[in-house]
Amino acid sequence: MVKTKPNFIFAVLGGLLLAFSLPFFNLGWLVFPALILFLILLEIHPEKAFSNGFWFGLVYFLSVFRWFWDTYPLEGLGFENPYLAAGILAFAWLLTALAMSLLWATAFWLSKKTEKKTSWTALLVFPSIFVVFEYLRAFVISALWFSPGNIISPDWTAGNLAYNLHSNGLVLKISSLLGIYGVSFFVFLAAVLVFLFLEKKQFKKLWVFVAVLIFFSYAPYHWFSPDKSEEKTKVAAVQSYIPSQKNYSPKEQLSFFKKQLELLDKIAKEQPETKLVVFPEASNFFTNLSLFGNTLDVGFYFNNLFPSETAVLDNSHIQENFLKKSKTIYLDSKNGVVGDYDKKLLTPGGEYAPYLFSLLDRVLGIDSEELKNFEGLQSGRKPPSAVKTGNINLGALVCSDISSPSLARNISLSGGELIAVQGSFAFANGSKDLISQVKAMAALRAAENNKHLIYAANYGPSFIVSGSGKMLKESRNRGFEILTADVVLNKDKTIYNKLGDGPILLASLSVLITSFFFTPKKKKNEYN
Amino acid sequence: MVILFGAAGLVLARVGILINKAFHPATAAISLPTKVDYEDSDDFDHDGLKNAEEAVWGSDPYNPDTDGDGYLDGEEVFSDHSPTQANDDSLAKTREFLGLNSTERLAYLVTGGILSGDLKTGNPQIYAQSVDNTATATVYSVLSALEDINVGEEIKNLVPDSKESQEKYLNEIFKVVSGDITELLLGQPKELVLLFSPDQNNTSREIYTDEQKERIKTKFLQHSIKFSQAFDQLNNTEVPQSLSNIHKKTLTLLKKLELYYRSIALSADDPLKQMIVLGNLQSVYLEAQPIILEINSKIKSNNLTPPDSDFFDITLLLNQ
Repeated sequence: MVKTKPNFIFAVLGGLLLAFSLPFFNLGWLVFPALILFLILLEIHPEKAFSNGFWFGLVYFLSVFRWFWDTYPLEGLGFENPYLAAGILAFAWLLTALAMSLLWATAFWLSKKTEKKTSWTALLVFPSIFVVFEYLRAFVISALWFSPGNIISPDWTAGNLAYNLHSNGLVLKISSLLGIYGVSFFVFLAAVLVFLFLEKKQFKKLWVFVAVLIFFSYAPYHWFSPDKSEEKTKVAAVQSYIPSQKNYSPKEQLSFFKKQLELLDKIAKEQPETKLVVFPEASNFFTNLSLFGNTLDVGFYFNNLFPSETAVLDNSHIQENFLKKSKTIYLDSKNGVVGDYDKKLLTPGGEYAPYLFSLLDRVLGIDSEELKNFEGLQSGRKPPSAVKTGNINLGALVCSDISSPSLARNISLSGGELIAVQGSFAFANGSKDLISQVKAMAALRAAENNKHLIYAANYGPSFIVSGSGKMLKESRNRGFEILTADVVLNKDKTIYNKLGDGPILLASLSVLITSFFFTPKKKKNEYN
Repeated sequence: MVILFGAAGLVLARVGILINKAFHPATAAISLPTKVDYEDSDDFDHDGLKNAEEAVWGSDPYNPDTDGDGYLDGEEVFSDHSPTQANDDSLAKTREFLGLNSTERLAYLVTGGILSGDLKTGNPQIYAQSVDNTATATVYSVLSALEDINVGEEIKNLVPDSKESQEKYLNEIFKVVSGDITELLLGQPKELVLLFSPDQNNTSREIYTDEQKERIKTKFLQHSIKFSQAFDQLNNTEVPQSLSNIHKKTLTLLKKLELYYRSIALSADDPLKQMIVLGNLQSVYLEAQPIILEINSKIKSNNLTPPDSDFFDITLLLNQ
C-alpha cells in the first residue's frame, strides 16, 4: 500500500502525528508511534530518506513554530502595515521550519546511508545521529536569525522531543542525568527498538518492553528521592497583564505601576513571611519606583515592607548609553541591590531585528519605516549565575532564556538553590501554544537541575514547578494577581549539572564518525 | 587649554559623584573656604561692603581693611582695586573671573590652584578634599539661585471653604499634573540618556555637539513651557481657604520646575551648571510627595473624597 501512494503523504502523516505530540495537545506519547511509523517508511523507501525526512520534519516544525502567527499583527513592535507584518511572519515561519526540517532530513539520510536495512546496530547509530543533528539544530536558529549584537549559541532548543514528553517521569529522570539530548537519544532508541521488535515479529519482547516503558514513565520517583529538606520557603510571583505596545500612555503606565504596588503591598501584609517576590519580564517596577523616590526613599520603602530579608526580582528595559538592555535586578529588602543580570537569549524579531530582515528589506526595496525605527535590545554578555539575595541563593532566567539548558545549568553550577523565571507572553498575545511549550521547557529545566522553579508571567499564567519537574501550582486567571507557594531550596547538583551535554554529545558524535567507517558500500543501482 | 579641560573633566566627574550621593542644598554638609557665620545683608566692619559681598571678594567681614593698605575694602572694590592684595591690586582679573560661567570658573580655580601651588597634588586625600570643597561650593551657588523662589502671598481666587470647593480644587491639582507632566516624568530617564549621552563621532573638545545642544535646549524649553502652563492653570483656579497653603506650595513647586527646565535649556555652554541642575531635578520632583501627604491628611481631617488619581494613590502606597 505504501508503495502505491506518494511517499510524502505518509511522511506528512507521520509529521502530523508528531505534531499532535506537542505539549499543546498533551498527547506526548504520540512521539513513539510517529517515530515508529516514520522508521517503517524509511525501511520501505531508504532511497527517499532525505525527502521523506524533510516532509516529516517540515510538518512537525511548522506546528512547533505556528505560535509565530499569534504575534500578528506585530503592533507591539510598531508595525502599522498588516500586510508587511504578515509577510515578515510568513517568511520567518517558513524559513525557520525549512531550516529545521533540512537538518532532520540530513539526519535521516545519514542514518539510512549507514544502514540501509535496519539492524540491531541501529539502536546505537540512529539515536546518535539524531542527537548530533538536534544539537546542530539548536545552533542553526541563532545562526539563521543572527544580528551583529547577538551571539550564535546552541540555546534554542524549541521542538526537542523531550519537551513533548515533559509529563513523563522517566523522561524527567533521564534529563537530570543526561539533559534533553540524553532524552532525545533514549526516545529514538526506544522507537528503533519497538520497530525492530515489530520487524522481527518478536511480539513477546515488544509487550515486555512497552510494559517496562510504561511502568518507568509513571513510576513514583519521589518515593525514592524525597526532598531532603523539610524546610519550606514561601515565594510569590506578581503576575501582570500588560499588553505589548510600542508606547504606553502615562495613564496606562501609572495604572500598571499602581496595580503592581498594590499586589506587592498585599503580599507584604497578608504573607509577610514571603522570602522571594518575582516580577515578570519588562515589569519596569524598579524603574518606575525610582521616579517616586531617591535611593534613600526606595531603601526605606523596602525596609519597611517586609519584617525580614526578602528577595525582590524585577526586570526592566533600561537604556544604557545608546543601548537598551533587558536587565534583571536582584534586590534584598534590607540590604538594597545585590546583583543584576542582562538577558542573554533575546527573541529574534521581538527583541532585536535579525540581519536577514534588514537584508530582505534592502533586497526587496521595501525600505520599511518599522524596521528603521525598531528599537532592539542588546544581549547580555554573561550567563546568569546565582546571587545570594536575602536568604536565598537564586538565579534568574528571562523569558526565552528558558529554552537554554546551559543557562539554567549555570545557575546550579554557581550555587543556585532556586530558579526564577521572568516571562512575558504579551508579544504573542498570550498564545496558548507558546505557553504550553514554555511550561514544558520549565519542567525540563527544573528536572535537569533538580531545583524548584518559579515562573512569573505577564499576559499568561504564572506557575511553580518542583525539582522533579512536576507542576505544583498555576495561577487561575491571566490578569493581575499573586501566585504563592512553599518551595524547597536545594543546593545539591545533579549528574547533568556536573557533566552537562558533553558526554552524550561526544558519545553520539563518536558513534556517528565510527559508523562512517562501517558504512556498507552502495551497490550498483541500489537507490534507483 | 588642555589642562583646563582636563581639570574641568575631573571636576565634572567629582560633581557627578556628589550629585549621585543625593545632594540636596538643604541637607548637604557644605565646607566653604570662607567661614560663613553672619547674615548676608549685614556689614559688620562698616567698610561699605555687605557681608555677602565680602564673601564674593574674599575679604574679611570683620576687618574694614583686609590687606592693610590704608584703604577700606569697599573703597577698593568701587575704585577697581583688590581688597585682599596690597601690591598687585588690580581687580581686572577678578572681574574677568566673575564673568566666567560655572564650568570655566571651577576649571580656572582648580588649574589656577595647581599652577600657583595652593592646591597641592602631593597628598591625594587633601587634594581630593579640596576639589570636593570647591565643587560643592559651586553646586551650592548654582542651586541656591534656583531654590529661592517665592510665588507671593496673594491668592487670586480665594473662595470660602466647602466640601465641594475643596474636592473640586483637589481634582484640579491632579488634573494639572496628569497628562503632559506625568508623561514628562515617566519618560524622563530614557530622554535624559538619549539627549545627554555624548556623541561617539564628536571629534571636537566640546562635550556636546552644536546639534545636541540645540536639541537639549529645544526639548527643555518645551518642558519648561508645560510647567509654566500648569502654573497658570492652577493659579486661575478657585482656591478654598483651608487649602491655600497647599496651593502656594504647589505653585512654588511648579514655578521651581519651570525654572529648573529653563535653566537646563539655557546652560548649553555651561555643562557643569547643566549637570548640577539636572542632578537635582529629581529632588525637586520629590518635593511633590510632602504636598501629596499633606493633601491626604486634609482629605482625612475634612472627610473629603480622594481625587481619582493613580499618581495620588501611588504616593500614598509608597509612604504608608
